[in-house]
Amino acid sequence: MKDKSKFNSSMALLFRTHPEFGALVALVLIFVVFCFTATRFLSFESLAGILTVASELGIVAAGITFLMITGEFDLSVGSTFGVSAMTLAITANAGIPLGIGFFLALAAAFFIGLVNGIITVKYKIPSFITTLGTMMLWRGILLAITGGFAVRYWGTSSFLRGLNGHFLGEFRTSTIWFFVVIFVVNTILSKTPYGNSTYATGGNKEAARVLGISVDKVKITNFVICAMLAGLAGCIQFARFNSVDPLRGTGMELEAIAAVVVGGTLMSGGYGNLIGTLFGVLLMGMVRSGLIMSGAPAYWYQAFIGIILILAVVTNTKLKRWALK
Amino acid sequence: MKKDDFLIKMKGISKRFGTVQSLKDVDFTVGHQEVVGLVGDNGAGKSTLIKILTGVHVPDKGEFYFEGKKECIDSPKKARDMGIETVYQHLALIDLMSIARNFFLGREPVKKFAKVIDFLDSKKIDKVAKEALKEIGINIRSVDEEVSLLSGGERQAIAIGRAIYFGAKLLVLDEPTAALSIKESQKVLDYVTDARKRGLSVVFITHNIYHVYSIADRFTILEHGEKVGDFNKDEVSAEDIIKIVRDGKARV
Amino acid sequence: MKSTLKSRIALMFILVCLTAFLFGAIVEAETFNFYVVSHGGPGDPFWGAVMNGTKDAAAALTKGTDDTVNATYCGPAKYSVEELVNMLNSAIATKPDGIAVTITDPAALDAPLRKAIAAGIPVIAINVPDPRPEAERIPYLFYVGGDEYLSGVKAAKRILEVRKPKHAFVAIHEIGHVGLELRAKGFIEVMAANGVSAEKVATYLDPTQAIEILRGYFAKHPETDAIFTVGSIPCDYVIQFLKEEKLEGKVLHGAFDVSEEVVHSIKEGGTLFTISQQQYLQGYLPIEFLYLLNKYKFLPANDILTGPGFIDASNVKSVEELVMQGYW
Repeated sequence: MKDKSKFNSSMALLFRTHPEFGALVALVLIFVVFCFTATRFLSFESLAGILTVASELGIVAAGITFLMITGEFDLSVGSTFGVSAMTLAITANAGIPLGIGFFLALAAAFFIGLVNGIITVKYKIPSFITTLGTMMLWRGILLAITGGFAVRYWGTSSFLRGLNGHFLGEFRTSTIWFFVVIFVVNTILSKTPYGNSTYATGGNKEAARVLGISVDKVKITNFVICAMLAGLAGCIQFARFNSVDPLRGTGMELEAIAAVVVGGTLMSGGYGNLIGTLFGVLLMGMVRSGLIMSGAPAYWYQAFIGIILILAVVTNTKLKRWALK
Repeated sequence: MKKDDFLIKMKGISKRFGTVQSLKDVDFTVGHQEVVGLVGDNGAGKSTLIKILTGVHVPDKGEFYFEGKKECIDSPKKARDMGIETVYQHLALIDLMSIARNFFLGREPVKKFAKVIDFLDSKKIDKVAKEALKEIGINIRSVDEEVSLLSGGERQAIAIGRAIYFGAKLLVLDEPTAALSIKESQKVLDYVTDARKRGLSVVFITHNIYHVYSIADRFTILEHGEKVGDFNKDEVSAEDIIKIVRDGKARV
Repeated sequence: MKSTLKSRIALMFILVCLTAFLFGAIVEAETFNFYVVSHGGPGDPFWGAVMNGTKDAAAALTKGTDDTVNATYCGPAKYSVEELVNMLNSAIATKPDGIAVTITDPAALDAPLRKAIAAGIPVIAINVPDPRPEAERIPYLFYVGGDEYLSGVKAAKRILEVRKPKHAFVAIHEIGHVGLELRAKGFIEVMAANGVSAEKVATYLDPTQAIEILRGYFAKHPETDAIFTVGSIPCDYVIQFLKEEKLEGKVLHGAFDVSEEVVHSIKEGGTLFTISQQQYLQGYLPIEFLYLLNKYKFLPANDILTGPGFIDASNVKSVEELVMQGYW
């Protein structure tokens, strides 16, 4: 009896201080289910495929996590993703060295993030609205510039291979970049004073302000970081596809936000971490792939994903509530 | 007994928000190792006054002296650096963060990585936070716990403990006992007294005259943005103060 | 002693029977898993016919032979090249017995498909081919689908048979979609060759937004009297637009793809014709061919053109019922 309650309370402490645990539980459960229902789920190809999708989504989700903890949203990441990818594609076709094109692509993302941050902070507009607007703005500009046409790059380059080439057979370097991003951002969050300021800004903006944190600077900086990560992901995907169409990245923002929320980060801000996002993104990739490999009827595809998402979040919330008692 | 060298001296402070004159020509002083009760009905200007004191707002008119020197506080960080710490009702601690992180927020001890990047010295943070709080008589199970799990009294205690640890000279408490149980209120009052013993001065804003009367040395009464009374404890009783606040009359 | 010998014989007998049964089962009845991966899916009535074709072919084969044929259709609800590629990769990872896929973006599909083909998975292209010359293009087995450019050409010719328009445009709903662009190209080139000013107008997928765009366009180009819609979604909102603005008959409407709305409109005379790729076949035939290839090694020698076929006033009545059932 005593042992059980001791175990319970130490488990509870674990859940309280590590919000990503719920996501891990959901991830493992769904993995086990798909092992049975999906053909060749455990093959290298399948797992590599999941990681490939998860890595591109994950880099975007990392930025969203960081910004969500700060208490803000960025719905324009899909458009930023497309803009950066298109910038790299267009400069590559124009003969500009890929390294410079990459720099320009990230610079474009920097600019988009800066605009998002300044408008939200200086004009006190809810970031949801600001980034909804910029999402449409940049997507529209992308369509206008390209006339709607896809841009294809037929060259090969070691730079692109470095971004997203194959290694160890089926796996891609994007996975490495993904883990690097997760590691770096998580380290910033949990092990630096700036991370502390970020949590404070998101947890209670006014309290942080009166305690001396320059809340505006933190928010604008994190908008920029979020946008640049989305831009990086766009370039990485371009390296895989060798083509970009102006609709690239559409809908990514909702998927990324879903992955982040499944991972245990609160939409209200001030709480969460990148490990949860890692699990959330792996979950999304796994669900998409697993459903196809299980032969799920196409009509039910979206519905299945929605159900699994809701279940994952509910499990997460229930576990957290239990842990708090 | 009014000393000549004050810790804080604010002269002729005026502040207007839009059409509302929040403060009009208010003088406010706080001596060394003194607990001053700042009282007045709602809308009297108490919050505005301390927000000016702690750098959240800048006054339209008036002068500010800290330890005899003329200063201009234009940001909360500056106020904190000068040694003025505030414990707001709801803005003292960040609920979703751990006690340890809250304790050091904005003043985190760091280890330098590769001589360039600041990394939190987590060991130091956990150790010092636990010890500092223990020193003041606050025993916490784990400084990793979220602040939201603490009671109101415990939160106030941590905020006060934090101020003391960082060498505050002036502690400003905004309605610290509101929404607290009787036992917890008493604990907070004890911490305030303890703080004064350690050499801090305290500005204590409250509606509960009885609470502040038990520990304060002086009382400043505001009404509609103006100062209507400034008394030592031996000049008035708690009932007198309540009467002034309620009726709005100043006794000569 | 005797009992162990008896039990050994019994065991042998059981094993032999089991082996024969299993072996027989393996040789006689096989299971084939095919995937149809495309850039469109639920929500678009066009792909509904393809999905029906896939489903019917798999069911017919399963029923008509001893084998089991499983065909899974994968397509995103909203046009997305990323999802197409990701779905394709998942499908390939199951090492299926065959894949039918739309080559919507040759650059993006090049690497994954070449790998699949090299691994021995039969690949048939449907709906959109790889436009590059044979030596360069993705080495899929063959293509089942319409000829987009030819469709556009024939559409323009049909309109010119009625009268020479003053100004024509192509309402295109998925920018950058290779197939749609080719249809538009065929149409515009023939129009231009005949001295008619023609251009492309992007109208996207959302009907409300599209009608606003159309209104704006007609305000700027009031002399427009011919529209070619390159899909069922733009067709429906153009029909609605023409009705609202009372332009039926005044503006010649040529459509692409089949739906209840366009059939109705052809009957009423608001729409001149619609071109069908007979996309049901694009879902049905690949499954049949993949089965025949896997089972008996049969391989067609050329692409199979399922379109352009025309529905107009002359045959609309006979096709109407089939449209409602989801075949056309």
